[in-house]
Amino acid sequence: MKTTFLVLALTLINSWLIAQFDIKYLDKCGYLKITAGNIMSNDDMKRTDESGLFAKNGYFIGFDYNHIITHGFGIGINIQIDRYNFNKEAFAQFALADDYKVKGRYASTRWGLNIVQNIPIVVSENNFLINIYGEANAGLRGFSIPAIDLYYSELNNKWVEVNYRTRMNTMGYLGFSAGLQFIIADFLGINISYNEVLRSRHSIRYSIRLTDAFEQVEEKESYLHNYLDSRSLQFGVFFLFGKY
Amino acid sequence: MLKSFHKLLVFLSIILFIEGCEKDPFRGWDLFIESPPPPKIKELYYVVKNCVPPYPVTYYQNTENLIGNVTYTWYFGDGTTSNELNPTHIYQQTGTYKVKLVVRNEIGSDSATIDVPELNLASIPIVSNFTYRHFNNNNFAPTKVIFTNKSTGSNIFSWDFGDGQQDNDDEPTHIFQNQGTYTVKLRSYCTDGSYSDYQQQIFVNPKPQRVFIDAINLMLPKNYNGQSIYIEMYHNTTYIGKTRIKSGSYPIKFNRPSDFVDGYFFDYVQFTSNEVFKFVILRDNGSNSQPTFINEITLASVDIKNNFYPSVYYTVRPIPPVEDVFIDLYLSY
Repeated sequence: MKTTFLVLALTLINSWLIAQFDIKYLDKCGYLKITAGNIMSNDDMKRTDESGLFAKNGYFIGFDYNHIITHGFGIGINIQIDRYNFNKEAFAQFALADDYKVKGRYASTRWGLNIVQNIPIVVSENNFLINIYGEANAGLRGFSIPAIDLYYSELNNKWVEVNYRTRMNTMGYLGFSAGLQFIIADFLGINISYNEVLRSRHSIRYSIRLTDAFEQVEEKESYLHNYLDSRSLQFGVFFLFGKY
Repeated sequence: MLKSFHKLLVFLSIILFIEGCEKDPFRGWDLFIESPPPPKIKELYYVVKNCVPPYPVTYYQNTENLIGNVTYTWYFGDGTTSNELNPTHIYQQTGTYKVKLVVRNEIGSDSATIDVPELNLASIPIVSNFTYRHFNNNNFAPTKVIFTNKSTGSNIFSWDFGDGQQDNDDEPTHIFQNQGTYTVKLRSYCTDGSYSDYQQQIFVNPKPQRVFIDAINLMLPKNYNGQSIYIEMYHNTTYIGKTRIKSGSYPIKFNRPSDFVDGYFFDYVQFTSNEVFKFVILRDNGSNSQPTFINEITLASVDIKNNFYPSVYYTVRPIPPVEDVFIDLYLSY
């Protein structure tokens, strides 16, 4: 066991010794990374009180394409689909509902542009490359709420059924990500990175349909207003084009 | 490349501009929790059902917000009580009586009192009187009419509905089969044989041949948000028109005339039992592709006839293939 560790350590040290920065190594190349992972909503979204969103952590899947122009600097586009779970039990309890039905989650889809700076470290030319990168994102983001139906006993509440439905919500966002990419054969690699959507508050519109015990219906509109920032650890695959 | 970079900077500036609204206060979910309303007595009246003592008196009430276990307690003013909905009480002695009704349920109670001054008299005049209402929200033939007898001083009644039919009930219901103007006569008798007459005209309209769609509110599941949705309408198998294509966001509202193409009314409606009104909900896939079927809602003739704007508007929640579809239909004749 000790020998194995020793061999591995020596190999890594040897790799670093022979590795060299080549800031122009990825110039004129493009790369696509497909990532997924756990997305963490902020504490304001998670709060289960009158100003909270009753959100929980969720998951995401992201696609990011960058074209490197010069000296590791590039521009690109990204699409990320985020899904935050909804704390339906806490919400139903907070709303004093006798029964409830929740379909879907908080859904956010981001379309953005990137500026990216890559620092490629060539361990073995054409064989193994480690790329350290930092990326800034800006774009538009759609946000929707889950479909929530609350049911009340006619003796507990004037409204026996309350239905919440989303409306179209579009907002801007700013974010960044930074991480490492391990690329073999100048084509395929793995990506490990950290992504954050910067902290900013937004309004999310929704509709409400209220039905009383005598089947009279009222329709209303309202909105949530809260911070919608998030953090995520991104794991995924990486494809390099133009080098292989 | 410089041009692209310049465009990127412009884009970033726009995003920075619309990126957030920090000034607005936090706002969470709107909850709708209100105490349900307690019973409310809207109307309380009585009818003395004889012209000479002993006087039987029937009490009537009209109470709103009837939910839960509702109990009625009548205090007749002579030490006796009743729990009936509309009780009849016989007063053995003339006098002045104040009658009280208490309506209770789990939420609360309401009470009302009424004086019955006629019971102090040795005899009271016979006054024949009635009101009526249509069972449906309309008076289209055939129509069922419910009569409320408001005659005083009498307890035997003879009704003539003006269409060749008679009845001796206190409060009859009658179906007028055809359109027309009917003179309904009520003769109210006291036990001493004296009587009083009263008559009213009732208008029964012909069946409407054209039913207008004023508006449709459509609610679809969340996964249809942002998609292009429209509704095609059929009367039996005949296409009558469709709505314009709108983006799906809860609820999608179609108002006439601007949101309808081809037509927005059902014509030659007969209100027969085998007549159907069909609303087909579709997703538009562009001019080169067939639309995708989402759901179909079919209403029977009786649904169209009995529920219409503004008294009631029709709400349908169909069962799968797609759950969670509501349609609110606003109709007029």
